[in-house]
Amino acid sequence: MDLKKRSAYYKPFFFGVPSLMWQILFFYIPLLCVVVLSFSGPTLFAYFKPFGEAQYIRIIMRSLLLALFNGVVCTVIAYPLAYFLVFKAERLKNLLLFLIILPFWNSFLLHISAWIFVLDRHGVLNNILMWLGMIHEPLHVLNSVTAVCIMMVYFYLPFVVLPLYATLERLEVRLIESSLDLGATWWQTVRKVLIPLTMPGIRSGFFLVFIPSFGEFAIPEFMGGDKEMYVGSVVSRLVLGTQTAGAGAAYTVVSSLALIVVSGGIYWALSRKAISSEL
Amino acid sequence: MKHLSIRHYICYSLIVLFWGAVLAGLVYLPDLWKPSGKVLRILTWGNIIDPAYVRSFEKKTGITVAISYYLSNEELQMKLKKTEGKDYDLIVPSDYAVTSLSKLGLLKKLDKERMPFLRNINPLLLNHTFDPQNEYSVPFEWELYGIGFDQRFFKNRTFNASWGSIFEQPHDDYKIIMTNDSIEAIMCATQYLYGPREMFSPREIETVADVLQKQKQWVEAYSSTRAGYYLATGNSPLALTTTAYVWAAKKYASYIDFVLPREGGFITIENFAVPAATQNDDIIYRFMEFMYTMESALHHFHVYSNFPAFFHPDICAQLDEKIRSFLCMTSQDFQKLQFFSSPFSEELVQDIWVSVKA
Amino acid sequence: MRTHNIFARFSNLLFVLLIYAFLYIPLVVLVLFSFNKAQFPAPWNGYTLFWYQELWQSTHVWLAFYTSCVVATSAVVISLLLGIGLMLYCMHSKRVAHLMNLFYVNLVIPEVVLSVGLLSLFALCSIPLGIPTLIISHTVLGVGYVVPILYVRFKSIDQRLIESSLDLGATTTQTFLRIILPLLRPSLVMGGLLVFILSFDDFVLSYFCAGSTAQTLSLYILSMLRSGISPVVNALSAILLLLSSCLVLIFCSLSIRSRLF
Repeated sequence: MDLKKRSAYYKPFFFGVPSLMWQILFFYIPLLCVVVLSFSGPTLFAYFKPFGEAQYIRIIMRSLLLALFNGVVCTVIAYPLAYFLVFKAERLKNLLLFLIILPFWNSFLLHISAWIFVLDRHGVLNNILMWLGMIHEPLHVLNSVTAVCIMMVYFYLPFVVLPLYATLERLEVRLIESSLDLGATWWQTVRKVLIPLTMPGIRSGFFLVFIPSFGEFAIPEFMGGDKEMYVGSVVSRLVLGTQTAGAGAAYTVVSSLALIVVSGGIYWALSRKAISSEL
Repeated sequence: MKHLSIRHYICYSLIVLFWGAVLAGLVYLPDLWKPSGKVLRILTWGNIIDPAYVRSFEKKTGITVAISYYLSNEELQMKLKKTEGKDYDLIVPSDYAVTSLSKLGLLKKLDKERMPFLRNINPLLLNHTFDPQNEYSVPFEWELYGIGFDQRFFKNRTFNASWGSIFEQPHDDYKIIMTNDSIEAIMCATQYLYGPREMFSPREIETVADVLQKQKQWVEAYSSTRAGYYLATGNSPLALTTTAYVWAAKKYASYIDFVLPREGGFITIENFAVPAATQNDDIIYRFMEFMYTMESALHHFHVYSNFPAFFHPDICAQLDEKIRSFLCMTSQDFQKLQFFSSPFSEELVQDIWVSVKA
Repeated sequence: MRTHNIFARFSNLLFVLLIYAFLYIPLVVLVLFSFNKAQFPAPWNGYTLFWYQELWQSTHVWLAFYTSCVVATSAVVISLLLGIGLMLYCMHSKRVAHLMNLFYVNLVIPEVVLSVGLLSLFALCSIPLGIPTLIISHTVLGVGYVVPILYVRFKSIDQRLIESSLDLGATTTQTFLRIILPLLRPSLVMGGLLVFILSFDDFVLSYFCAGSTAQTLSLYILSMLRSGISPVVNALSAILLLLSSCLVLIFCSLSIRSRLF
């Protein structure tokens, strides 16, 4: 009896510790490796000083703006979509959900090639619009910020749809119905009941897009003609150089701090509007 | 407050050790089950060695060839440095990468006795400053940097075969394609401004940065790999690009052409080199013998449009005239070409490039 | 669900259809051009099945695809198991909740930095690069998504359910297996799908941690960036699409009654 009790005591630790070990071994120690191997100079300050310059700060702001735009647009598009899936697509629910994820079983680079082809000056989009007579000169979409935004939304949309779907699924429909019964308009119900109730889903969906978008550099490079640098481009260039690895690590720290601060602010702002469904 | 006795700590440590052993097993054991049989591990650029062509080597000799790719010389150097060159048997560095790799002691000296094909290599490509006597590297293929353009667009317009058409604002309403490599961009700018020089004063460096920053307004895209595509699809009529991309695009867009700028232009040579830590010398030299044949040179030119270093009079007869003029270049013309090097420190290059794109 | 006015319903449907069209445009383009005679970026040149024949014979493409699948599946399985184990640990002691914060950092650090760090670690410990290291690096990525997703769902489970289960005599393990795990199932599926996509698509981590002998599909396509992407890969994506559609149809027809989510 004592053995059983003892094994029950250690069981949770036994099952929980691998994940902690994994995280420490394969995430924190490599980070330590990067920091230790790069900061081999005498003063730490020397690594951080260059990043006070305006151009590096501008790059951080640009990445933040892109991430914010992407997060907001994806969330705004994904919400009605998830809503439709949960409440209006009865038997086709699972099918439609898988259909959203299905495109991404192909490689990201193929998607990029295809989109380049579509948005090209003589590509599919321009050909269709000219054939329809809506424009007379080809639109210059590729190699501009528009193309970058389109591709970002395209790629990150499923990341928001899934958490929103999960949250809406568990929504207590009675609360919505009672709100409508009590005389609130549809828009009032959405603003004051639906959104606050689903705030955890909105939050996790938003951050699942916001945070990775901040470090994104492949999409701006391929779709935007690489005319502007983002945090990810700078970090990858610096970290891969033989003498600039320290600067890369330093810039990562600076930009990550900026990201954490902004994320914290957004998290706090969103949490204020959340209400729990426990009455 | 729970009283944690020594026994508790021992139990916890045992659990951690258990999982550590499992992890170590997962990580180290698969190595023991490696297939016995010779494997040649190559690290190369994207279109130098054709995997399909290599199949016949595998069939003939029973040696498996595993090809991995890298996207820039800096990544190559970083990967080799980190793993101390233990992972690969054959690498394909560009000219200036050979110098830095050999300085770091990561390359093995080549055994010229086992390379009978050396006499067939274009002599213009040998014995340059990046590897005098070719102790560490042997050229495999090369390409030229210059101006790619759309002939249809410039039929009735003036075409300026000089770097000026890239670095000065075009009078007509079009945008150009610029290279995405910081060193290439900076050195083309210095060749345009100051000719072939190696040392620059701070004022001159500032001028270079200025020129590159001003250029951004009429750049359609910074792209090394898709320059041919943009030229062929009419996105832009002018690009700073290489012969390889132009000739590859020519296959389906015959209206594209290439010209070396008046100021000289640049050349890169991709070389075979052997990492110092490898033990598979036999199969390396067998593979190199296989790659340095006329058949291989023609095949790789046909597939990838790179100029082969393997030189034989019969080759010229099989390629078209324009290419022949490059392949059979006189040594005077060759002198005008410059190699890419690192004129400034890495930090300065990064600073300039970031200031252009920030 | 209560019906809203008809206009809201229609605009909703149109909106959803537009979104799906948006998601599938590039796929349609990819599939169409797998039948093109010329190489991908070139304009339409004629109909051919040549690339499919090439695909059938290109063993290296299938090998790369197989490697990608193996790595992605292993990464999913391992990250889910690690996540579940962690939730079990969480269930027992409330103090462990603070450890969750350790996992939120994964998303913030750029992949490049993590890749270089992992490469240094592997080199330091003389770990041979290959499929195991690929799986390890993708799992690190996966854990960063799985743990937050699971934990959010875990926190929102009604405590009274757990308490009543324990009161009624179930051991903690039984409670976990029979009550918590089924409740976590939607998040597990969602996390698994996300990690699969991320791992399959990933090329930054694979680029550094794959070594000389392993090659994933994304790495293979990346290598073709310079020479132009052969329509063989288009053919592959058309086939992948077909395969995954079949999987989806089978799956949905089997579970049309059971609510997975």
